[in-house]
Amino acid sequence: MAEPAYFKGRESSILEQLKNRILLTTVDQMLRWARKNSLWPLPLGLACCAIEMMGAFFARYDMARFGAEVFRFSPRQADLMIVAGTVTRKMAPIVRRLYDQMSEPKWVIAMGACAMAGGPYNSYAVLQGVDQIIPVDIYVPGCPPRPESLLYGIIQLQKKIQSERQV
Amino acid sequence: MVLPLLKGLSVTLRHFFKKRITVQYPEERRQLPPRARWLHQLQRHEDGLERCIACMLCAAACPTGAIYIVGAENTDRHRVSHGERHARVWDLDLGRCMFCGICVEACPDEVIVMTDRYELAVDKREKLVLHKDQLVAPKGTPPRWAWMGYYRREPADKSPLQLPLFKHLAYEKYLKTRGREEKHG
Repeated sequence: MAEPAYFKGRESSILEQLKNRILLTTVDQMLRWARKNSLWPLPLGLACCAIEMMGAFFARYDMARFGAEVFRFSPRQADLMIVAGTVTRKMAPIVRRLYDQMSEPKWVIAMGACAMAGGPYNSYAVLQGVDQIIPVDIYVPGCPPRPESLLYGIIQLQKKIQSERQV
Repeated sequence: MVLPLLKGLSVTLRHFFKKRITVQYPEERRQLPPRARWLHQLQRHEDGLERCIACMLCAAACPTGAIYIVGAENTDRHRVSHGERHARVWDLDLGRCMFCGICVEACPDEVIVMTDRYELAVDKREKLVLHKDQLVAPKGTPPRWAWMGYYRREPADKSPLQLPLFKHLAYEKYLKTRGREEKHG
């Protein structure tokens, strides 16, 4: 087979050309990259934190810049559960069921003091931290957190996804 | 039939030429109001000693019990604050704190001020409890007064402009060192 005309006289730079044109990576790294840039959140707005969560997703703070703008109200289509608000004991089994229905891989952000540790409600009716029923990846303090705080939490989660082993 | 459609689309078109309101958050930060209540800071005296004397009033006033203090005696060899006592432990549980600022009101010596640090996300629940070394202002931070935010100690009929001039100057200087243009309200 004849050598393509393109390579005539350029044999020494073929390696250079390949380096410029081919992106070498591992499956692991690519999966991580894809996953961290397309987090589809399941908004579990249980109290006032949900208002700030909505604020984070609208034009001024625009979560779409982090690839996480597609709110999925079905747990089967979501990657990331944002527990925003007070988880009462009555709500806890439902939160757990929604988490179980999400497909792997899945992550959880506990947003606000109530979801993190019960917050001001040190009471028998309120779950003292959503991590008692589901594994939490990122805790976002605030009562409620600013939209920027939530964005910072999502950036931290992206860093976490980038650093963990996927395959 | 076409007219209402065009009317609706004209709104879209108008917004197309408007200034974009998105804040490019990690690179660009919104200016918080001067009374914003975010992470607490424990002040220092000008000579570098801590102001907190472990009187426990903030812990008592906290509606959610987020503050935990263990006091200890000051000795000549180990002096942390002026006066007899200092806080050996000053823990703040962010899992309980609701940033209401009642501890700032309760503090008799204006030790606690609230800053604009809102990036507090962590990945472990243990890290939600902040210890004193994370909360005390670094040495050399010019003092802020609680009235610079929401909690003025002066009588309500006094405007902030009638306050002693040196406090204003100190605060202006402090803001300049932080590279911020905000003026207190």
